[in-house]
Amino acid sequence: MNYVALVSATTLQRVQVTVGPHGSVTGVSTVDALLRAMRSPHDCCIVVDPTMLGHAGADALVAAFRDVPRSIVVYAPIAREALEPSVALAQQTAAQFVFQGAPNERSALGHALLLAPDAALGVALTTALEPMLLQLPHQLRLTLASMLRTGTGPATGEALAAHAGIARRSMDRALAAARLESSKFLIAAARLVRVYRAIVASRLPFRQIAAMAGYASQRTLDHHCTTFFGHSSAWLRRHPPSVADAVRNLTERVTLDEGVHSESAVS
Amino acid sequence: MHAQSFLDAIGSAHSAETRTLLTVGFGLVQQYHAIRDRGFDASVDDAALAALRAQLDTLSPLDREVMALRAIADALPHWDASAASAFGRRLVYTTLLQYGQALFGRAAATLAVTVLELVAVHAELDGEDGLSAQARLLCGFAWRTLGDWDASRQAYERAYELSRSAGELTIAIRTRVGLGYNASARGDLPGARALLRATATRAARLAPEALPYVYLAQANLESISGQYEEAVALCYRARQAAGADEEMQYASMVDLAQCLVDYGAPDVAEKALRAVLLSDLDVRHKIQTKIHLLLLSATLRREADFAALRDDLVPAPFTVRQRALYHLYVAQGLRTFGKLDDARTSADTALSVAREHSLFQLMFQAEEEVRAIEAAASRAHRVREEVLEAAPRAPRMSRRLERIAGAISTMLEAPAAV
Repeated sequence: MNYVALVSATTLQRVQVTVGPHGSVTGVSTVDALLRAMRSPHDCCIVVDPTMLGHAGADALVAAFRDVPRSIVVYAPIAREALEPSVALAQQTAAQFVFQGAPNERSALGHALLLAPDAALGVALTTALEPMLLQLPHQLRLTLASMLRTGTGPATGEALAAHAGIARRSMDRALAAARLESSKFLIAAARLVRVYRAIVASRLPFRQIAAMAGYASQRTLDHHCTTFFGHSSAWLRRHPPSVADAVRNLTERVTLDEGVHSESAVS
Repeated sequence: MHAQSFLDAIGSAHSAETRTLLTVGFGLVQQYHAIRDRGFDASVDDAALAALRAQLDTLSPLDREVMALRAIADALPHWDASAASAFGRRLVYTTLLQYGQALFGRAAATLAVTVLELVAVHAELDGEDGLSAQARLLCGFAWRTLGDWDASRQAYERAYELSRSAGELTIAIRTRVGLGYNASARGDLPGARALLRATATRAARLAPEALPYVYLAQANLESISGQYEEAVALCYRARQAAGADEEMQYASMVDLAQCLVDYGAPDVAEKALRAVLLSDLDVRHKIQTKIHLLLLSATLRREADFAALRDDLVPAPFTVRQRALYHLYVAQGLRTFGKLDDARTSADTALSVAREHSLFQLMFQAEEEVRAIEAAASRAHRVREEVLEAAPRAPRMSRRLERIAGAISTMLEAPAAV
């Protein structure tokens, strides 16, 4: 994985140490250079300090994201000059945020960089599921769409309902009415969006991927891969499917056929 | 409940600056509750936040607590931002966590627990398991400092559950480390040892970046057990496992120095601390390191160095805990040089500061020091010290110490490599 970073020299060093042997990190000093890297034909993950971006830079990054969805990691100090651009990126892209000074800053940065989701997969999946998502209550629709785009979000059905501001039972009924699988299934699908790139396009050990993504074990990760893609993680790494095929598999598994429930498949 | 804690703290504040800090903190927490209940309303909240920011402008901008409070004030207007990704909520919870940590640094442990538990509960209600886990981890540490083992254990156990579900493995490992510290502090050394051994195995497989925490906890345990050789080796292992993590490098070097002193190798300990001073660390870590060097200079009987460090540290921007520790070490040093009257004055100061701010561990150490000063007057105590100094060091440990000293000397010669 290639990482292109618009950050300070100290932060660039930290990013390089975090990525280690699992990718290459290139530092850029201007927003234009960052946007050029984003629009290049080669896949990359963008790492950005919003204080170096500013309002205009954030708007340009949002526009570029609409054309060419890329993984974006915003490594932000909690300072007023960083917040306005951060809000724009949070609202209009699938950016992941790592806040400097948080107790888990280092591990959060590692997760964000090494498990950077495939932005194209996330965008394509939410586009494919849009007819179903439009039938959901507003906040649930937004939360679920964000989850499926970024691979991050609530880890349990209760947490998802809390995020969406509705009762668990109401959420379950709404999902069924929209012909979507249960919340547990959707959360499992979102988690796979998160780890998909790490599985098919990196050399991270599967055990490490499973642990970082919150799976109980590597076996659980493989079980989910088999459920959604029909193959184990090792097979997927050897025979990486196209984004279109991955989207098709995920869409088929998260939409409900008449009278069929698959919750037991992701226990 | 949080209101009462803040009001009690404001009522017992000893300076105008502390009162201002606590008042602003209380005001911001109240603002947080209001915004959480009804959303951000610029027509009402902008003025309130501006007034609180204005009070912060009268205080030192470098103070950790001031920075944390300013971050909360900056974050609150964005509470509702990007509800889909919960960016605003995560931002506010993170700033509140930082505030809780800053309160802890000022030895306001009771107030820190109040803020951290607020974050823990609200974040969990909002489905932010990772943030709730972080808050509960910090609560576990705070409760242990306050001596409430049950509350500490409950906080760590819940933090473990939440961190596993959120995939926060480093937090999960640190909760087990926290439980290990609890066990050893309660005297259950075999239980602590077994728990930390299992945790080290798990961390090596799943979260190697958390290994330094485990090794330092194991070193602490071995040091308590009197197994100083093992403690030194574990600290050194933590230093090596820390890699580019400056905070862990600092923590491991300081713990290594402490273990070396306990073992009777203060000269090697001094090298470890001087290596820390040469590194590119935060000023508060360097102040802490100089405080430890102050004690070491007394242990090594270098009166000139001791006096120089003591004077150098007088204008330092201490935290409350550092101020108590400084006076405690000055007392111990002066006792070493036979200046018992001055030592007693410093020990009394340390005890007074520790009592005032409920720093129980430092309070006990200061009381111990007062007793030691009183005993130092007796001839029997002086004779015992002379006998201990004459005890030979084990040859195997001498060789190991030579290797460690050599490695630290290399670090001193090439500070960029640290």
